[in-house]
Amino acid sequence: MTDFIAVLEEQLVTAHRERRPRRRPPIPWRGGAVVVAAAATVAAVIAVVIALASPGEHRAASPRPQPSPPQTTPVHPVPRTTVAVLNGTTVTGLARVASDALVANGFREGIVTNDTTNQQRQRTTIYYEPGYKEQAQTAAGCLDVGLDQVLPMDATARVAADRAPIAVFIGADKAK
Amino acid sequence: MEPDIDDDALLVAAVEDPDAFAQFYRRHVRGVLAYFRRRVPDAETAADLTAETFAAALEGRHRYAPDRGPALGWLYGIARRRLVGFQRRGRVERGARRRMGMARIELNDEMLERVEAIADAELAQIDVALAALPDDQSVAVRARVLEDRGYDEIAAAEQVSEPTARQRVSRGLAALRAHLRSQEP
Repeated sequence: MTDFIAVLEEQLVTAHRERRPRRRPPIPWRGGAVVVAAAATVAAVIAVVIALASPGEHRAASPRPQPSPPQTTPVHPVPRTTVAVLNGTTVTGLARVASDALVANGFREGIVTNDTTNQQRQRTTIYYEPGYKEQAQTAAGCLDVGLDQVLPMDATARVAADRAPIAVFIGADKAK
Repeated sequence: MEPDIDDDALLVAAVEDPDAFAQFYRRHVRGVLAYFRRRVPDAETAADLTAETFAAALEGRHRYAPDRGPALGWLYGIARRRLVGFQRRGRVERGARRRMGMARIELNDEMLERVEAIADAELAQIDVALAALPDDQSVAVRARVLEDRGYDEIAAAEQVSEPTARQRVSRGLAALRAHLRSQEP
């Protein structure tokens, strides 16, 4: 006999496994790894797909680099992960616009402020803590940022982002 | 036999661990089902509210803070809000399930009967277990969990301080939980 309690448990466990990747213990980021270069290549292809398509589901557990037909469904809701947004330009209001877009797509608002360390940033970049790559890529999709600009968190970004697991640094490309 | 980890620790572990969440769920799903069954007209609605409650708990599990109260109170707080929403709107919310990608479970007659049986058994057990508690704890737990009364209200009715009311509920629930677990097959 199918049992409501068993069915619900199965749904909950599946949702737990699928909706939020397990966090790994934080490890210091070391740049230049071959793996990242390969991932960036794949990510760049995905970025093209995302740029061509309307916002669509792209929980990239196993991203396929082949172009897919444009999708019309909204960006997949994600667990409410905090995202900090810092404006790395002198154009006011860019961080607020980006943060609002992220909140509208299910993210939790982190700090929204100016990047006092760099106001001449050219390209918008998204940093993520270990375990948050997939969600950072989703954020990139929300903001139309190329996945080659989705990078592991570094120490400077972490401090500026007030330790949010995902940090968006707005560049001049968003002022156009 | 599952390890005897307390609810609060279990819910903290459940932030990352699906098995911990499943264990927390198994411990309390019958109680939540009975809680709703006592308050809504049919078993289907009770099941629907139970599913939405646990989906919301799953979605918000990272927001649970043990220093702000017991996990069971947190869970029943979620349940209460779903119940109030249902009473106001006349329909069960589905937002948490939608966000978590969980489909509504369609219950056939057999499943509904089983839900009724579980709720009845749970309510009967709770009544027996409550009767076994010291009077002050029984009154406090009944008021808090079964009648949805606030700690301030319980404190005033029992002429004790609010921390004392909280302590009675907390101890009563712990005793109740121990009793109910000892009845498990």
